[in-house]
Amino acid sequence: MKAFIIRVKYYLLFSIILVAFIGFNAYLARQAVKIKLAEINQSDSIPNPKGILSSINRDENPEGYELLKEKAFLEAQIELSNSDSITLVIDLRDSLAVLQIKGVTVYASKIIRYSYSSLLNDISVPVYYKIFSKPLTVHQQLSTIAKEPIVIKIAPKDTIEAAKAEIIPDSIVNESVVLNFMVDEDILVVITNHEEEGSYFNQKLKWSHQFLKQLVELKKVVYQPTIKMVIPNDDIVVIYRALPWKAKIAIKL
Amino acid sequence: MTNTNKNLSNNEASNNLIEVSSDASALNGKSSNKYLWVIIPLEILIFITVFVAFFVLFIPKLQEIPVKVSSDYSNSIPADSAAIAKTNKELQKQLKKIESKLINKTPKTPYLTISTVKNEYVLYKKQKAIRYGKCSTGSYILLDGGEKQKWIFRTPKGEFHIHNKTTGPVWKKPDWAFVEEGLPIPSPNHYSRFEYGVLGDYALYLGQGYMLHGTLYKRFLGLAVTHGCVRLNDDDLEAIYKTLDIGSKVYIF
Repeated sequence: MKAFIIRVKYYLLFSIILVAFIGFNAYLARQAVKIKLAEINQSDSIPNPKGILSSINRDENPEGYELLKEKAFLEAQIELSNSDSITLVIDLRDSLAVLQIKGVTVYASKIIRYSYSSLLNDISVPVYYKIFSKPLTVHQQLSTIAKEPIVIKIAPKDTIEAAKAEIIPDSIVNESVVLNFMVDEDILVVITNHEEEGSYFNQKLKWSHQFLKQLVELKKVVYQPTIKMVIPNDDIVVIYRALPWKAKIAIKL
Repeated sequence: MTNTNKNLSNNEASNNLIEVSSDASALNGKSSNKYLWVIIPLEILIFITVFVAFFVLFIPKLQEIPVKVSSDYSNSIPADSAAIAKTNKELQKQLKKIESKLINKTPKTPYLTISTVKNEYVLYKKQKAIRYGKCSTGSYILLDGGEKQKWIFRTPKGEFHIHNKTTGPVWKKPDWAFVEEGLPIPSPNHYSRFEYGVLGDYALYLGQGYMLHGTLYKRFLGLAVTHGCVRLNDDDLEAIYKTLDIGSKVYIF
């Protein structure tokens, strides 16, 4: 009986510690979202918005809000068309990822599935317009495939050695590709070519690791708004290899 | 006497009972200790499951709960339906203007798009795709000829235009063609540099030594095997030659 009571006490204490730990972390995680939202709304705020920007309220005029989003998207594309490099245009509403060169659509891919952080829906109308009416610059690209599939070939010494040289053309058959584009406002754009939950689980694990690391190192827990999308197998390779390192992207949520 | 004997025997019996019961409790203690090796790992497993589920499943869900903020500038002034209609009409007008600007970016004259990943081309006339097919582009082979002699066989990406068009092109082999075959490099205008009939019936020049031309290696069409030029089969090459004029745009991505 005594041993049982000790055991219950031990469980109770342990549960209290666990609940406190969970509660504290939940608070930190939630607070990180609020801080990020405040940061975005503050850093991109327009002091005195005039004209249409000042008159659109997404609750009272949802149609106007959609039109404004479209306007921002087209304006970003106009700016992209002045760029000499290949650019990416992502229209989540129409589920399209398009490669453009100087405003000319050269390749279009259907987005199979997408999701994005609700924080991006919570930003104010003028701030949304300010962020998405210009192209977003990719500051960092991470991928599971090579940007350029370079194969080093040592020049043969003679014609006999040259005749033996084997040609293995590059193939675009890739089982699973994950692209991570870090763009302005610390928005993470994740593009994958497969829908398995496994990849998302891995990403969540990675995120959890980052969260815990920030916690252990007593750093401020930072929230990262994310846009995730799944596009067909070949298309992801076409898009990734076409884009330069400092690519520009126009996005419509 | 008999009573004392009885009492004694009772005492002995009770002593025996105590001994038996203490043995039983010792046995119980042993058995609970015996199961500790199961209980403790089970507890650890439950803890880890709760911990992972919390960070991987609960926290991300928690962060996606919308944050209610009244950050829209127009929130304080409720708009009437007439004002909303006016705003939307104005927005639609602006959208049409931007859309027409974007449409004008696409050439009205015939143009060609080439995918270096899929090794496919699409020919456009009057802004509509009229022909598509396979081609071959740069192999991404880095030929190391030693002593500062390195060549990379990639097809350049971006917007190009047709500089010149010819029929019955002759290939003037560059240095890398000899290095690749293990042959000594001849003088610039040596007869061994000139090859007839290997580029097909037509060639369209993109500048910087890059061409659209035919090939003898038709089995490689659809694969990245060239030294940077774009190879096409005879019919496709003829159609492109006849459709595109000098100055026509070629978009490679």
